[in-house]
Amino acid sequence: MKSYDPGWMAEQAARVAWTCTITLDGYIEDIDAAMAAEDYATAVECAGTSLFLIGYCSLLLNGHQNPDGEEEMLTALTVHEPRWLDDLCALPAAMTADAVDAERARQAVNKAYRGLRGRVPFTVPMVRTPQGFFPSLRVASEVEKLRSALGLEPFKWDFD
Amino acid sequence: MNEPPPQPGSIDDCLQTVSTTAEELHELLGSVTDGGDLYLVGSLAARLGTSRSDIDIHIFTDDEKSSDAPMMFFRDQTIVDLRFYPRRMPNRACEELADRWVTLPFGQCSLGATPAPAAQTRLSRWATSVPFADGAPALLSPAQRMSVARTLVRAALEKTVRFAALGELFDHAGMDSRAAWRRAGRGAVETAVRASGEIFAGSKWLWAIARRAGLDTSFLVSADTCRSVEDFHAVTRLARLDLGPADRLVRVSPSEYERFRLSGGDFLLIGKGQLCTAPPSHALEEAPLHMAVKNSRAQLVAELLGQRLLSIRVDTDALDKAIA
Repeated sequence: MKSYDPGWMAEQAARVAWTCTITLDGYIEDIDAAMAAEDYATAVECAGTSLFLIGYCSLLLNGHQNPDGEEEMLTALTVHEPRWLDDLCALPAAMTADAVDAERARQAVNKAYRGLRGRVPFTVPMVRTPQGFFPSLRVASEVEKLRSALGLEPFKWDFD
Repeated sequence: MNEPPPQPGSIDDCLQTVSTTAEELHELLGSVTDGGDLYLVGSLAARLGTSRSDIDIHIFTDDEKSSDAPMMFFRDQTIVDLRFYPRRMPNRACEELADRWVTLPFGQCSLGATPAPAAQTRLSRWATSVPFADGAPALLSPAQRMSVARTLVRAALEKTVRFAALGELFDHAGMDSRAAWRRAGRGAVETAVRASGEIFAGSKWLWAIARRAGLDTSFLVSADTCRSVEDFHAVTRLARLDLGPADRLVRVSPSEYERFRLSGGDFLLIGKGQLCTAPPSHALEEAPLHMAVKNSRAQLVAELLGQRLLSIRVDTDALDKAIA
C-alpha cells in the first residue's frame, strides 16, 4: 500500500497524467511515425520535445508549480532540474540525423518515459482515440470529485 | 521576401494523406456542419501531415459566439477535430494586426505588439486553410496572408530574443545555458522559415519545412547545433541579423504575490501553491533584464524567474528600434 499527499495527487499528478495522454504520448508516437517515414530530422525533433515534456512532468511530480509557457518551463528546468537539459542537449543534431542517430534519440526518450511512468500513480486512457475517449472523461470526473472533496477549484484544463 | 505562399491544392488532395475525401467527412459530420463554411486547417492543409495526422476543420457560421473548445469525432482511428468561429472573425483578427513593417535581410517583419499565442496559432491556420466547397474563396486575401506572415515573423523573432536573453542570463549566473541557446537557434530557424513564406510552422515540422523552404544548409546546421552565445552569434551572422545583446531587448516584471510575515522572515505566496522566502524588494521591480542583473545578482534573477516571481517579455519599442 502507498500513501500520497492528496493535494499533490489532485494537482501535480493529475496534470502529469493528462499531459502524458494529451501531449507527450502524441510526440512519442510521432517519433515512430517519422522513423517509419525515414524522416530522421523530424524524429529527432520530436524526441527533443518529448524529453522537454518529460522534464516538465518531473518538475511537477517533484512539487513545483505549473510553469506557464515554454520560456518558464525552460527556466524552471534550468534552475530546479538541470539534469534534463543534459539529456536534451545530448541528442544528435536533427538536420544531419541518420537512422542510427534517430534510433539513439528514440531509445533516450523511451528510457526517460519509462522512468516517468513509474512515478505517476494513475494513467489516463488515450483521450484522442475512440476507445479511450469516454474512459478518459470518467477519469476526469474522478479528478474533479477528488478536488471538490479537498476544497480545490476545478482543474485548469489548459494544455495547449 | 517571397510572395505570399501559394494556395495549396484541392481539398481532396490534402485529405488523400489520411485516405479520405470531403464527401466522406460531410457524411460523418452530418448536420453538425449545416449552415457553416468548412475549411481544412493544420498540418494536412499545409501539406505536412502523415497518415496518422488528425483532421482539423474550422467551421465559420453566423453565430457570433466562438470558442476554441473542440468537438471531436472519429473516423476509424483518425480524429476529426471541429472548432466553430463567427464568420467575421478572420477579418476582424486581421484588422487588429500591426500595419507597419520593416524589410530585414531575411524578409519582412511587422513592428509593434504581436497578438497572443492562441491568436497567432489561429491566424497561421487560417492563412494556410483549404476550403471544403469547390470554388469557395480563400479564408484570407493575399494581402491578409502577407500581414499574417509579417506578424508571425515578428512573433518568432520575439521568441528568439527571449530565449537568447535567457541564455545570456544563465551564462552570467553560471548556470547551464545550452538548452536556452539551443532553443534560440531553433527560434532563428523558425523566424527564417516564416519569412520565406511558410506560414504554418508547427514545431515538430520545423526541419521538414526549413528544407522545403530551401533555406541555406549551413545556416540550418549552425542553428541546429547552437549551444552557446558564440554559436548564436554565428547563427545571426549567417542570417545577417545583429540585434546586439538580447538582455537589452527584454524586460522583467514582478508577478502577483501576497506577503506573509511569519517569525523568521517574510514569505511570498504565488498563486495558491507556492510559498518562498521574500527576496530584497528591489529584485522584484520592473526593469530591463540587463539592469535587473546589474541591480541584483544574475543567479537571483534566474531563481526568481524559476519561482515565477518574475516573468520576462520583449520590450516592443526596444526591438522596433533595433530592427527598424
